[in-house]
Parts: sequence; structure tokens; C-alpha cells
Amino acid sequence: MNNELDELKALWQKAKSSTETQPVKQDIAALIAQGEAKKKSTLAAHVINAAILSGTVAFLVFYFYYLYNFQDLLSNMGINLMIGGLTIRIVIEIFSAIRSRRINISDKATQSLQNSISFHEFRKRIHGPVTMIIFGLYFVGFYMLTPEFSRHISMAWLIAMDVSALMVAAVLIVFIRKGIRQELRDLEKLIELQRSLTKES
Amino acid sequence: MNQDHRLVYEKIYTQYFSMVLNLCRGFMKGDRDQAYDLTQDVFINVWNALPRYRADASYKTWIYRIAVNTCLLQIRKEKNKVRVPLEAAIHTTESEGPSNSTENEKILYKAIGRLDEVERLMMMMVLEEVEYEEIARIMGITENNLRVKIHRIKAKLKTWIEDEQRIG
Repeated sequence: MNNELDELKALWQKAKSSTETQPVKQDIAALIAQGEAKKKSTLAAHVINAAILSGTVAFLVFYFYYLYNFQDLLSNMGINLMIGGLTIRIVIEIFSAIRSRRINISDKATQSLQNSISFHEFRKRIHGPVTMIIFGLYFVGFYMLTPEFSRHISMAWLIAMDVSALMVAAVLIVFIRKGIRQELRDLEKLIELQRSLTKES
Repeated sequence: MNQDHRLVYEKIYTQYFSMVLNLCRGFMKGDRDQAYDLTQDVFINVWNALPRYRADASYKTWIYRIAVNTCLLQIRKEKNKVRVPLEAAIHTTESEGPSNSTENEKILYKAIGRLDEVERLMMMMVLEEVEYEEIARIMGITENNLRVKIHRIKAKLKTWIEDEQRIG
């Protein structure tokens, strides 16, 4: 078997010598710039998500509590469901950002893969059942406002509002399902790699 | 990021560029362009991990760990990724491009390409003469387990290469 290895190494040395490469110093500045940009963009993705959700909550609070003072108990329950669901999602987003930092690219491969698997399992849960529940609460809350809205706007507007909310929900479901499928594919691939790496031959 | 980090990074890049490129080239089944892209990702990760380097491993082992993890975690390729073109891709001193690469090279990469991702990385480190003990530390498995895996990989490669040579 050692002879076979020597043959393979000899073959590799030949192949390598035909494509010998030298690094160029000018690349270094570009790589450092990309490294810095990557750090910022990773953080920015979480910050932007949290900012969009926080902005939505701020708008809802302003609109429902100050601008349009709902009176009915049902409406107030609806508002709390909408705002509460989004607030939980913001907390999850912050937690997700913290968890993503646990993946250390300079760990040994088994550790790095394990941390990535844990992170993707967490994301599968939050992109799957948790997001669906929050999403469901938001739309149930929204429809709970309908009775009180009906006293202030025409039936035509009310129908238009409810139908358009339904359409938005349908589009969001498609995106959420797409995200879940991607997370599942990533997770399966990581588990397969981990299995290949750790299985005792 | 201070000037010291930049100097260390320059040194690391100059010293280990070829080592990382060879690993990536094997991982990418000999595809030169994809190997350069991956090498670029590895060195971007090296820059970002540099402040956390604690000298509990040599630079070589540490960079191999980052390279292996970068390869394995490349499961979500960013689409339409804008890249600063690497000068190295233009100014390499390659004597032969992929179109006229040697027959040996083609056969070897084809055989390596039939291995799974983990096997490919292990084999590339073996071919680069990295000690088994060090490979085991990089991968996070026992040396015994590694030896058994390498034994099987070599047997597979031998069969495939012989088949290729017979057909060729």
C-alpha cells in the first residue's frame, strides 16, 4: 500500500509542477478589503432584518395606539397579537445573530461542522414552525380588527383590505416554504459531511 | 485592524498561498477558476480569524483548518457574487492551462473528483505530505480512524487511476 501511495504522490508532484503558482502581493489589499466587507455584511444582514421588524412594530404601535385609537376588546387583542408576534421575531433574530458567531472557522472540522449543524437546526425551527406561528398570529390579529374597521370604512374597502392581506399572506407562505426547503437541504448536506467525517470505518 | 496583523497576513498569504490553492484545486476537481475563488474565500476567512489566532497550533495547521472548513461549508454558493479580480489569476506562472494540462493531471483530478468531499480533502493533505497526526487534528478525528480511511481512499484511487490509464 505504501508503494501505491508513493505512486500517487509522484503523480501529484508531476501534476503540481505543471501548474506551479506564485502569489501576487497586490491581491492582499483586495482580500483585506473583502474581509472587512464580509464582516460588515454578515452583521448588516441581521441588523437590517431586526431594523425592518422594529420599524414595523414602531409603525403599528404609532398607528394603532396613537393615531387610530381602537376601542373594542377584540381589536385590542388583535393589535397585541400582531405586535407581540413581531416582537418575538425580533428577539429571535438577535439570538440568531449571536448563535451564528459561535461557528468558528478555525476550529477542527468536526467541531465546526457540529456548530454549523446546530445553527442550521435552530434556523430550521425558527424558519419553520416558529415563523409560521408568528405569521399566523399576525394575520389572525389583523382579521380581528375587521369588525371595528367595518364601522369606519365602506364594505368595498374592507373587502379590498382583507383580500389584499390574504394575497400578501400567500406570497409570504411561498417565500417561507422556499427558505425552509433551502435550510433543510443545507442541513442534510452538513449532516452527510459530518457522518462521512466521523463514521468509524 | 493594526499594522501588525497586516504584516502577519502578508507573510501568511505569501507563504501558504500555494498550499491552499493546491488543496482547493483538488477539492474543486481540478477546476482552476473555482479553486481560485475558493482560495480567495479561504484567505478572506483567514483575515477575519487572524485576531483570534492563539498560537495553540502552527500557522500551517491553523490555515489548513480554515481551508478545510471553508471548503466543507461552501454549501450555499452566493449567486452573482461580485469579486475583486485576483491578480494572481492573471499573473500566475502556470506553464500549462486547463485546456492543455498533462494527461497525468487529468487522470489524477478525475480520480480525486470521484471521492466524496471529506475524502478529497484528506487525500489532498496526504499528497501534500502533511503528517497523519496533523491531518487527524485538523479534521478532529482519531489518527486510527484517519489511517483506515486513507487506506480505503488509496485503494479506490489506485483502481480508478488504473482503469483510466487502461482506457486512455
